[in-house]
Amino acid sequence: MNTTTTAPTVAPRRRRRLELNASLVVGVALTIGFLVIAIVSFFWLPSNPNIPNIKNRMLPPGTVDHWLGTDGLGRDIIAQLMVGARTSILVGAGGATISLILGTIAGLVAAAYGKIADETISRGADIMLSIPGMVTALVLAATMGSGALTTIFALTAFFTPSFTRVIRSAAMSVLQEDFITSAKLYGRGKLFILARHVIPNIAGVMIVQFTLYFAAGILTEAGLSYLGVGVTRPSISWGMMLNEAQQTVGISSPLAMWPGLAIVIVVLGLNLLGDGLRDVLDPKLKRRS
Amino acid sequence: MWRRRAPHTFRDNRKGQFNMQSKGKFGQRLGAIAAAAIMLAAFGGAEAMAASPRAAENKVVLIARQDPGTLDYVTSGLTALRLWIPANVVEPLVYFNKDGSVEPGVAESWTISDDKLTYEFKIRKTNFSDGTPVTVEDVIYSLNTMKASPVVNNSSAYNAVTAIEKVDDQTVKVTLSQPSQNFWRGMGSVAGLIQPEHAAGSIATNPIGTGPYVLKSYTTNSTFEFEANPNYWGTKPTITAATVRIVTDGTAGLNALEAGEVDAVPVITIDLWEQLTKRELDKKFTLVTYPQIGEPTYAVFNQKLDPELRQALAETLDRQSYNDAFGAAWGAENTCTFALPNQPWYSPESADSCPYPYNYEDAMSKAAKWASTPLEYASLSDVPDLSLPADIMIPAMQGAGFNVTRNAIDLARYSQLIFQGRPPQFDITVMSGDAEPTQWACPSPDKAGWSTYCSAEYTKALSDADAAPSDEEYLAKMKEAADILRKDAVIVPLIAKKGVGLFDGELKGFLEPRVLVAIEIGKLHW
Repeated sequence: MNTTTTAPTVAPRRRRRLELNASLVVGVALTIGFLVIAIVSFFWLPSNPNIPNIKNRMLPPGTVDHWLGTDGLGRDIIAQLMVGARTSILVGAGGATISLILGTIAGLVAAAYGKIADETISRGADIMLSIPGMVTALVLAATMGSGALTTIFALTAFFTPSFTRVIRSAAMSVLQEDFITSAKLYGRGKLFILARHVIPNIAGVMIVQFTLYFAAGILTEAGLSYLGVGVTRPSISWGMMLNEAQQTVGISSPLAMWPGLAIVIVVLGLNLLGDGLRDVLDPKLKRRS
Repeated sequence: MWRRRAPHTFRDNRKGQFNMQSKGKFGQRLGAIAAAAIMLAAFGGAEAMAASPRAAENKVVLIARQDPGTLDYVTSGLTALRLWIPANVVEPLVYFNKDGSVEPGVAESWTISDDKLTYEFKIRKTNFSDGTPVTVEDVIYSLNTMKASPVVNNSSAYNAVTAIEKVDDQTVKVTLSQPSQNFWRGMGSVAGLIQPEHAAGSIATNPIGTGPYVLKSYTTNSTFEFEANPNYWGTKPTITAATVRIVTDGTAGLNALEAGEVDAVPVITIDLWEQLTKRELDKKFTLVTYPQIGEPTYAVFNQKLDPELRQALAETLDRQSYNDAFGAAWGAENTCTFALPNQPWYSPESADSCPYPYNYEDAMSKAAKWASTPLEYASLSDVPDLSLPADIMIPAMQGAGFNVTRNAIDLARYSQLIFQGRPPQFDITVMSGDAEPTQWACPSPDKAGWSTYCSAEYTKALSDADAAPSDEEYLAKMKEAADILRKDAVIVPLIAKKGVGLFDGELKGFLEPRVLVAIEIGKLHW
């Protein structure tokens, strides 16, 4: 009966799934490209991105040996972009991973361990969320000194409450299901139920959130480095490249364009990946199709 | 009409029906657009080249890049303050002209004893900008306040002063223990500024003086508003009102000038020089260069490091590369002397004036001895002028074989660790600022400043220079002091940057600063 009633709408839904998967494919391609560039940078670089070569300063894009040109000190742009990809992964994925772990633990505790735990964790997360993330990061950078570790710490500080909320909400939804009641009646403990039943059922949400916060982490890191409180040389970040390029706006605009473009492509890739994964992993969408 | 026709054109193109008729219309339209564009450019250009709208009202709008935070010139030595308040609002006792001549300021005349131990200043009968008369008591108060100033450059002028006394209602006598060049020069600088005693409490926000202008308002991080002082004793300034906008973004400042929103950017820092020439702003506006507001950029090697190590590090400094990196060699000169080109003891980079010239091979051979000595380079991450030299210096030192690591910190932390930290937390750093050599004077090692430099020999040479009875002997002693500083390789100059400013072509009368770095608005006119 269901088949006959839903038959006329099956084709459009399949088309929609196909379109969504297209975003997944593009997202995966961009993300893999980004990862490959970062990995290659460990083994090969066109030149040392920190050694100045004043004679070659401000070479335009298309110059042999410096296809995207050089900066104000004659350092190759491609080499800097490649090392910058490394930093983006380290900081973005580092911040998102730690936040995911802490947020999952806090969210599961809030969802499963009664009202007091829930209220304490939820209100704590509310307080944390009420403090602007960038301000937290600036204060941390001022007190702890700038660098990749400080940036990861700052990202963790303002991503964890968001993860906590999302995981709590997803876990509570799963905990309402009949099979959880069955598991309880069967005598399973809370930890077992969370590990065996809840986490696998919210894994999709966790993965999707991870990709989105990975992208947000890259953006935030770029912002902090642009402000001069993130990564500093000899490490290289795309935000730092933007900051340095700011001195040459009006002299050589492409210098600011390349790191900006890199940020846009990677963040777009991660967002498409997240959207695509959501569509694939969301059980409701699966059931509908 | 345009909106109705446009779809036809697009449709024709899409269908490949772009016939001669439509091409003709398109051509006409293109021609019309081109003609309109040319006319617009012509009128727009004419408008851009026309005199500033403020010219008719005898007003100017200038740009400052930094906010001083306080206007208290007694306790703050910031250039951002010294650019605008001295000479415009508060005047010194005398003015020293570029040619060495001395002009009256608050003192209408003066006498100097033959032994140069007694100075008598006859105070001008005039009023402060708030209408109260200038009294001898105000002058004595001002000099005593500067004598106790925490800013060394202010108080050092009074090192030899033993008494400041009233002679009569119009005369002040200053007695010195020994002849002092610094005292006399200080009376034409910030150390000699005269303020009313009754207004001392408001100096941080509303300084009062006898200058050609009154500070009408000062809004932090926004503007200074000046108006002509109705009580000014001298020739009334042509410019009746001046606004100084604080625009921290240098490019935005240049854009504002190009757009005609402001009439001058009197101080343009080195990081904008290349942009300035690439945009041909030096051709569209009047470019002025003057040494007074210039600054030396110098490396500092902590004095605790072995002298041989400091000398080897100095040999890694390729001054030309620092100059080239800013892309504006017209405004900066390579030097090993801690001075600016207008100071007579200055000399550009040469074999004679550089005891440790750039010699990378020699530095590499010496580096082997120090390869295991960790060296921390404290670099300012948020000041482009200083992070750029660090980007060159650190790889060069590492490449030579020195064990250098970078500690990149922002200005707040830098101040905490280095300017205020005792002992300062660095082995190597780079700085740019005031070219006053007396800032490195140090009576004893425990009184060493942030640079860690302390040399009894250098301090004595400066003291001897101060006490020199003639200008010739003063210069000889200053050269001797500069030589000691060079050989000690703690303060190692790289380049001397000029002051650079851009003015509207119609805005004339710019005078090279007489009171330290002050831009005298009163001398400008349309």
